[in-house]
Formats: sequence, C-alpha cells, structure tokens
Amino acid sequence: MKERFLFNKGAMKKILVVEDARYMSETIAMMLEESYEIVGVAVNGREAISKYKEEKPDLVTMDLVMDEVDGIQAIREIKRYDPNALILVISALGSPEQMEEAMEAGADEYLWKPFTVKIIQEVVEKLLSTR
Amino acid sequence: MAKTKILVVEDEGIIAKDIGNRLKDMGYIVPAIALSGEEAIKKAAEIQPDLVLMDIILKGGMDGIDAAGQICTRFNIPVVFLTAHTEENILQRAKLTEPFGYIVKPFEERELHTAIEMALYKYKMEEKLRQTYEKLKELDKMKTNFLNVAYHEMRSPLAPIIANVSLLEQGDFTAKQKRSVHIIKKSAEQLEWLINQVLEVTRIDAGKVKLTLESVSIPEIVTNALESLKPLADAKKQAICIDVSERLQIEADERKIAAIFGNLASNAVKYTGKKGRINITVADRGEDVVVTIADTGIGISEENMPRVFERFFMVDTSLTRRGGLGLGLSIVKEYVRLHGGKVWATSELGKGSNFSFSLPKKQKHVAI
Repeated sequence: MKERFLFNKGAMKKILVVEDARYMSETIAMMLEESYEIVGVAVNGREAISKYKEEKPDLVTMDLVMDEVDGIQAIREIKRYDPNALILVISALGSPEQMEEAMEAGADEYLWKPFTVKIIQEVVEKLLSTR
Repeated sequence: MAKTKILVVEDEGIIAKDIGNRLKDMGYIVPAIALSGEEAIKKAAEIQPDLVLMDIILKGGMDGIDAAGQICTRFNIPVVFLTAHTEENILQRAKLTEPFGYIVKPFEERELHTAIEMALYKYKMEEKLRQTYEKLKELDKMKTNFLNVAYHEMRSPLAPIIANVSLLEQGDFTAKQKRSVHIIKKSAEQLEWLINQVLEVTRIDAGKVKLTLESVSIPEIVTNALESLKPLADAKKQAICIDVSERLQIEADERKIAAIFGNLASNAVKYTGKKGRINITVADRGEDVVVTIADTGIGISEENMPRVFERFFMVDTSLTRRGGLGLGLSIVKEYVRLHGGKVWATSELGKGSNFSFSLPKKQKHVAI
C-alpha cells in the first residue's frame, strides 16, 4: 500500500485539451506536456464530455466557440457529471459576456488568447494546487 | 404600360363624379371615389391606386390631411391635394404629410393633368432613391458583418503565433536568433493590438461594451502607462512631468481607464518631437477628477480640431504618417462617455496640444 501511494504521488497529473483549432491544441499540449500528462485532445463539446468520462483528467482546458456542442454546454455537462472537475477556459472569440457565462456555468478560471507559456503554466499550476 | 389608377377623395358627390370623368378623359382610370377620409383609407388599401387626389375639407371625423398622412405612411401611395383652401395653417399641416402636389380649386384641366404627371414622376424618382438607399444599407450591413468575421478570423492564427513565440523564447538561441524571435513577438503583438481596436469599435457599435466597476488608482494607471512609453520617450529625449496626488482612487473600469490614459499619453509621445515636454496633471475637484496631458508637439489646426474625436479621422492620411487606424480617440471618447465623464482638447498648431478628461469619482448609474 505504501509503495502504491508513493507511485501515485509521483505520477503526472492528467490534462484534457478541448480546442478545435489544431495548431492551438498542439501548442497547448506542447506547453504543458513536460509537467503533465496530456490524455487527449477533443475538438468539440461532445468529444470533451465523452473523453472526460473515459480519462477522468485532473484538469480540462476548454475552448468556448466550437462546432456542435460548444464550450459552455460542455462545462455544464462535465460539472453535472463531476462537480469536482477543474476547468480552465481558454478562448479568443469569446466576448467578456461569454466568459462570464462560462464562469457561471462552472468554469474555475479563464485565460484570454493570445497567451504565453509562462501564463498558462502559472494558471494551471495554481489551479491544480487547490486540489 | 398599364394605365394610371387614381383614387378620388371628395365629399360632394357631383363634384367627385365630374373630377372622375375629367380624369378618364385624360386617360386615367378612376376605379373608385371615396366620400370620406375613412373610406379613402379603406379604398386605398383595397385598390392600391398609383395616386390619390385628395380634397382637404371632408365630412366625417377625419379630414383629407389626416387621411393623406395615413395613406402615405401605411401604403406609401403619393397624394395630391385638390382643394379650395389656401389658408396658411392648412397649407402647413398639409406639408407635413409630404404631398406630391397641391392644386387650388377651381382648376384647369391642363393644370390637373401636368400636376398629376409631375407627381407620378417625382414619386417614381423617390422610389428609385429609396430602393438605392435600402440596397446601400443592406450592402453596408453585409460589409460590417463581413469585416467582423474577417477580423475574428485574422485574430485566431495570432494566438498560436504568440504562444509559440513564448515557447521559442525559452530556447537556447544565438543572439541573432533571439532578436528574430523578439521581432516576431513584437510584430504579432502590434497586429493583435490593431485587430483588437477594430473589434472594439464593432463592439461599441453593437452596444456590447459595458463597464466592470472597481476601485481604480489613478497614480497606478499613470505609472503603468508611462512605463510602457518610456523607451520611445527616452529615445526622443523627452521630459515627462507628473503631478498627481499619491492616493487618488475612483470607481471605474480599470482596463478602460488604462486605455483612455494610455491612448492620450501615447499620442503625446508620438506627436512630440525630440527634447519635447509632456506635462501630466491630475486635479482632484471633489466630485470628479480631471486628467490633463499637455505636450509641446506638432499640435492640431483649428480646422481639424472639431474632428479629432471622430472615428477614422486622421490629420495626416499620407503613407508617411505615424501609424494607427484613426480609432484611438473615438474609443477614448466612448469609454469616457460610458463613465459619465467628458473629454476635450485645446491646441495650437506647431506649439502643442492639451488633452483632458474628467471622470466622476463615483458611478451613480451605468451609462448604456
């Protein structure tokens, strides 16, 4: 038991990237993969929900404007499934009103695009340290 | 071409019949005669005539002028008044219904005929103009929508560019390569700033810009803005003087106040030459604060002064001008207005400009 505990402690925290722009999702993954395990990339809200259920990631980075199920719907759905889910919204197209809506839907923090590696690493670390 | 249909409105049956016959002799069709204002409106709706010949004094509750007003606004049918009355008050009331003619009884046939033809011609021209106007309005809307989409699309590749530049900055590069990365970064940031300005204007037009109120420290705003302007001001050996009380706080939207001050201060640095002076004063007037940015720059001519806060207006539109989109001051004006404040400027060409804005310390209501 003790050994398993140690193993778990050393394991990387898991992150699910939800982003429909390929270069952007790849970039977010590149920025976070040294310190975290990227368990998948979802390109819309529907995929985000199913991948969340499969992978149970420690944190989700969530785009807002996407085809089919959008980010706000996905946030609601994920939070309903797991109220402890940790969701970081990363959006460029979202207006301040949409960001507010996302926070009301249950998002834990938001980040405006464009952002730098320093900012995303700081925000992700801060969010995960609360758990 | 189909014959012109004319609706005759006249409460004296015999006179109405006579007018009808004379119109038929001229080659027009008279599908109906209305004896009252109410009937005139009903018949106009049914028949959709090309023109209404309208008497003014009618029996019943509605006179010819009221009926003409309704026919014009509801059915967009041209009206020509045919009346014995030329009193000033009647004429003035009739004018308000935008008639296409006013014929005084007794009239001559030739006169009636030419008046009707002129009215029909004017109406046709007006229709053409109206259609052109509608078409232009539609095109303008399409263009605005297109630009909105285009700017959003242009913005999205910027996010991965800026993000990846920040990744590259961590890399182990030669000095030259680092310089390249730095230039890419600065250029991408500049492009982002330009696109954001355009998008902000479209948001202002759509009424989407709202205030997020908090306690804002004016000295902090001033210090932060000047810090980012320091490299350019230093390069031009400009002297910047600041007079502000240490702890002046107001209730405002911090990002917007920073944008207001940043914009005016950056203009001052941009339009002031080498070894120029820029004085920044913040006056606490109790209810509100007044911030003034005075420079010794190129100044603004009296002719251009009334237009400097106008959108797209640029004093110099040549390609050698000093950059920017001509949107900055219009955004400043809107942000100040949202806070319930005022912005104004005075200037002397060749001597310098003073830009000031006032902001209430407390927001009584949120302006829309």
